[in-house]
Amino acid sequence: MQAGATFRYQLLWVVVIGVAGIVVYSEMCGRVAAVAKRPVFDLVRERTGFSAGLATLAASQVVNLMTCAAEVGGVAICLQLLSGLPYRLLIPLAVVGLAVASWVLPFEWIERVFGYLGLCLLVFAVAAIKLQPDWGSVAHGFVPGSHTGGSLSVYLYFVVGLLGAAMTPYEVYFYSSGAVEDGWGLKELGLNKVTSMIGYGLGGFLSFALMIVAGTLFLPLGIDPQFLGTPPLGAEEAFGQVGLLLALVGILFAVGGAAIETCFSGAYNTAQFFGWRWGKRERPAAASRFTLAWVIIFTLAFLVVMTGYDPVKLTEYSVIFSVVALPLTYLPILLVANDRTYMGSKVNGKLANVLGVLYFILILAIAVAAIPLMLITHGGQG
Amino acid sequence: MSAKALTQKSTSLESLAAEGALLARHAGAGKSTHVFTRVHSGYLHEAASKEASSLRTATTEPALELKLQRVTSLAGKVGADLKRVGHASKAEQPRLARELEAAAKELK
Repeated sequence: MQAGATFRYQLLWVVVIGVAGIVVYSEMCGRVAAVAKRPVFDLVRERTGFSAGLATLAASQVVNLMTCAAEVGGVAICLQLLSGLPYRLLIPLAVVGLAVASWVLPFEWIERVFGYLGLCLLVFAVAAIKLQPDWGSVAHGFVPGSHTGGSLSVYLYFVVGLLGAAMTPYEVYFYSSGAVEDGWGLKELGLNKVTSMIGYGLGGFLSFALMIVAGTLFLPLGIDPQFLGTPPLGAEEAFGQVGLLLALVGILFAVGGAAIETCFSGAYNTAQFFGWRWGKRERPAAASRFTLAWVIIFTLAFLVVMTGYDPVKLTEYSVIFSVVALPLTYLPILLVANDRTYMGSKVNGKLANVLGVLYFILILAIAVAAIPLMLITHGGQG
Repeated sequence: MSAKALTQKSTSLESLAAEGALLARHAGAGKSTHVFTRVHSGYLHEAASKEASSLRTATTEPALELKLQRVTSLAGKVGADLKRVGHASKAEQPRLARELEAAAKELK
């Protein structure tokens, strides 16, 4: 949203590149899970050794915790915007609600409840149309080029942030662990391609919608979205109270679902690194250390949010720090997906390799640039 | 406070005022819920109050004194208006929206 409110539609092309990148690497992860029956983090440790694996685990856990805390805070703010109850009361309620849902609901139901209700976010897509943007400028935004409306460093900071948000590591950890949990085999290779394309494609589509709403409504008014309550104003402008409620419910469930995914991702990584028994499908007592890991992550996220740190700022920092950890996540995936000892005849084809290498070069570049850009631009403020 | 920092404060306040104006306009038109208006305007008010506090204690070079005074005065006004948006009746909201829009324009 901030990208749209600062550069109008000029950064839409970055979303396309980011979504294509996560599709390329998720497809590899899903294929590795289906063929080798092993999730990403298991392979990270095996391919990189204990020390580098531990460094990757530490980096990913810090980012996971920051992201999870931001999402828990986001859920609490959303509940506050819906109910009017005090934020500090809603933080423990949000954590308990998410933990109970994680404990009680089977995997499929977590996906259904949070996924389907998260689709209320599609209200932003309809709002984007109703706000009547200049479609010529929107189309132009899909072509990289010179920019107007802010400094080059801020523009690059948003490029890095959008790529980092699209390719955040927890997504591939969760995706590959889920594939192993679902018992994917060779038969699911087609499903893997479709799931990664549609799933991440939908996320990209919603990013387009949010950016178009911000560029059409907020930029001309001089609004810089700094609050979780700002995006719903776009749906409210187009559809009044119905739009507002759909937006809030969509954000609540999309962010809540993401909090569960992030939390589980952290538990998966820890369990897989140390060789513990793991899995949402396991009885909690049978995979006790895995269960304890996700309970601890929720507890730590709760404590972070209770410090009063702004969840929106926390999200921005977690995205930028996740960019730094990206190469540690994606290199082992690329190596294993090319290794015939794991993959047999299902190693990467030419297209997957060309794209994988190109994206890895891009990931390295943004990982190097992320922190300096954050410092130079004061977190995108210029 | 440097010229750049003062401009950043002014831009931030302009954004808060513009957002408050949009919220008040929606509330006046019955497009928003009471709860959302109250809670969201509370966040905007809190942010504006923080900016106002830091501006009140700030000092700057003589050439920027007048601008600092003007921005500080507008910050107080924007903060007060944003507080009122959260509790105002539907009939009062359009006036608050106009005041906040005017403040946003002045801050530009």
